[in-house]
Amino acid sequence: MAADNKAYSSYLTANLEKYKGKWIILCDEHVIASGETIKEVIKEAEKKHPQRKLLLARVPEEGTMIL
Amino acid sequence: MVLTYQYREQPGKKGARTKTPSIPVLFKGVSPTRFEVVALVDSGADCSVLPRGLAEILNVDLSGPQQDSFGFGGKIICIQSKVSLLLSQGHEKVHLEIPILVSPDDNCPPILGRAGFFDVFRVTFDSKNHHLTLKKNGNGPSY
Repeated sequence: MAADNKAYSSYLTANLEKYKGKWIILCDEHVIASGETIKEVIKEAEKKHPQRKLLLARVPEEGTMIL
Repeated sequence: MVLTYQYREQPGKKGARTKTPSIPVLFKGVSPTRFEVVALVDSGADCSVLPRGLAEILNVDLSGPQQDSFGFGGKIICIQSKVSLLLSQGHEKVHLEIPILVSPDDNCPPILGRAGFFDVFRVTFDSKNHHLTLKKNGNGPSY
């Protein structure tokens, strides 16, 4: 399924409790950046791992999401 | 061709768990940055949505017309645009160009709505087994 995508596999199972309401960047199994804005997390992640494949995700806040 | 994705389960209050049908998508902009984005697949959304912060990083064209958009949170003014994306799983790859609305709210999750997406795929939400499958329609547009 997502076995070829380590970051996404990790996103599915990771405990992201402390990142609720934030944007995060995963690189392989690790959250390498988190913050309030997309631009800040991308910048931080690029600085740490400029050549690596990254995964950006918004961790939902607690509660029911109705869009 | 079928792409299958697992739901993420988000723990909630009092042991409740929320399951979200989200998938990893590579949006292709002219930005040198290469990253995938977790996008929520939303059959209730007329159109796909990207938050402005992401659209700016991807260098999405933001000169398009504005459009009122309505949701549970009320009315917001979005910008009409389009974006190319790639879905890949193993050797399977699907390229699409879809219409999007760019939301001024940076806190909204990226959303894959119906226009340009649900007419390309037969989308099955298997909530019991936590799977989302995308089966490419034979008569859908090919890119």
